Amino acid sequence: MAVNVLLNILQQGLCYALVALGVYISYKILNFPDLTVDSSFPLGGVVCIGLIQVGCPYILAIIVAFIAGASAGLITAFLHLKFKINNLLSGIITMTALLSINIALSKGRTLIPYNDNKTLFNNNLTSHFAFNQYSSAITNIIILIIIVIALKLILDLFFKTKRGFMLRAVGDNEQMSVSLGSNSGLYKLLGLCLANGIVGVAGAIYSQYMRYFDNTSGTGMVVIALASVIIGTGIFRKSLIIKGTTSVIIGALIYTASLNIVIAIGVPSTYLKLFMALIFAIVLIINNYLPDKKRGKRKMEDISNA
Amino acid sequence: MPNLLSLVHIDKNFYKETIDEVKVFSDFNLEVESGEFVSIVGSNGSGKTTLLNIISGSIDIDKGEIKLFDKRIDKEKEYIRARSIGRVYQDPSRGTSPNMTIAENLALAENKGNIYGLSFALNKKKISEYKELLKTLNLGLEDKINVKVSALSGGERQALALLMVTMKPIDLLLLDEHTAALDPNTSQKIMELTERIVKEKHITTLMVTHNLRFAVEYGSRLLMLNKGEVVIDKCGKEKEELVVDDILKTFNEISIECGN
Ligand SMILES: Nc1ncnc2c1ncn2[C@@H]1O[C@H](COP(=O)(O)OP(=O)(O)OP(=O)(O)O)[C@@H](O)[C@H]1O
Ligand SMILES: [Mg+2]
Repeated sequence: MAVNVLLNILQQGLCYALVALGVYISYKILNFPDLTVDSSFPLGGVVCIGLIQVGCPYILAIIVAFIAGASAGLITAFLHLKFKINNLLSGIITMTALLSINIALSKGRTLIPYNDNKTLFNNNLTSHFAFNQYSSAITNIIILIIIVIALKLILDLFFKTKRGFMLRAVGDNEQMSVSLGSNSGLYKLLGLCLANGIVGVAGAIYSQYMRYFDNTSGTGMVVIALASVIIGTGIFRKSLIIKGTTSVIIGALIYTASLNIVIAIGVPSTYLKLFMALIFAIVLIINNYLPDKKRGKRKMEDISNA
Repeated sequence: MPNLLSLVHIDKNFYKETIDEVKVFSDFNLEVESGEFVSIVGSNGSGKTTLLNIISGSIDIDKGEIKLFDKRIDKEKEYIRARSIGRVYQDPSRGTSPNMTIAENLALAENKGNIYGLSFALNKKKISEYKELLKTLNLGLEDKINVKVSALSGGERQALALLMVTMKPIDLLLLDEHTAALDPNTSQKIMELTERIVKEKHITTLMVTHNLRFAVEYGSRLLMLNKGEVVIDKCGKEKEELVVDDILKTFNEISIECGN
């Protein structure tokens, strides 16, 4: 029982860690609370499972899921930058529109890969690892750990490049990025595409892990991701060694664990979302009372009235 | 000497065609020669910040032309103009990225004008170059090179902002009360640093200040604005002979006219 709970926490938590890494870019780096995530996550799932069903290799399906998610981010960025729609509202518009697209793509059904379809977690390689009742879960966990760490390392490298520096500067002090001759809008667009692309990949990987896609799988994903990011960066806010990317992965595992514990102690799953919100609220409240909050953030609006 | 900056027949109104309309400039003209260091004074609301804003492109003009070396820039976006026009603000948090370290901020500034590509932004060699550069400020910032800028004092941040904005060659430097948020001592230090950098790099500069002593002591030309018009414009010998009392007198006359 306890072993199963632990294995579940790790599998789910690592999937959520992928979403959290995406949202880390939009929320933490760009300072953009992006609600597109609730739809770009299932979009990645439906695209991926749909393609796998028609015989597309799962690697390719995951890449297409990235592109699909990135396009969702592009729409949000476009609404915000081109038409000056507020960031939350831009995300809500894209998120809502995509709900229909996702249903249309899945034709309203639950999509299940066929038995002979290869997936990330069910292929020629993984079939060698069948020893006991836990081996499939452990295989999943190993695969997920490799993916999460690879993504984390890629992002860490990216944030050390000039472009990564500028992306951070755009979120940190947009006025300064403009003063350095950069088109801050383009960087926001880049960040939102990257963030939602990663979320699309997370959706693709999550639905392969679940072995099905259904349209409700994205509901609440924004809360899960934001909670993970805020928990992780909150805990390690003073650490000079733990990177932001590492801390959001740990945040995702902690949040998933707390949700699973709620279920394990017998709360009916009807109330799962209630507890999801409750724990998120508690996290935000604690976070607000932590000392040493970020200072010096600047909004574009008050530039011209110095 | 050729004109570096010309503002010709500028109109600027806020809330145009509403009852709240504020006319800041109408038919405003200004020529600045290459190499000039212009101090700009004037009472609150006289349009000093607005003047810098329209030059830097953070707000648009309604009518007129702005030229930098005979090239019209008034239609160019702010981030494009920023490649040749540097700016330091009154608020020390504006010119630097608070959650990035000093080294990271300098690396960003050093790459200004180039593509921010996928090569690494920092390496050991650059860090030691930046340390040398920071030593010239005499503030001990070289020992804080890996400290986040949010942990620095206002004066330290302004010094860093000045360094960053002049790291790459620029044609024009705009300073908007950039010492106003600092204590008198630090403010004096930043003023001296400004003078040194501007002289060393021969940067044409417009400096808005409420410190009349700075306006008189520094710079090669002095402008006083009132309600969007130039009421004093002294350069050369006239500027050198100017004393604080002269400007104060005009200031008071204007205030009396306004019924204050
Ligand atoms: N963004 C804006 N929107 C509306 N009105 C503005 C804006 N910026 C400036 N103004 C108005 O334009 C006038 C000139 O303001 P400006 O900020 O240029 O004055 P200033 O000379 O810089 O004053 P201070 O010494 O107080 O900084 C003021 O009446 C101000 O209310
Ligand atoms: Mg002003």
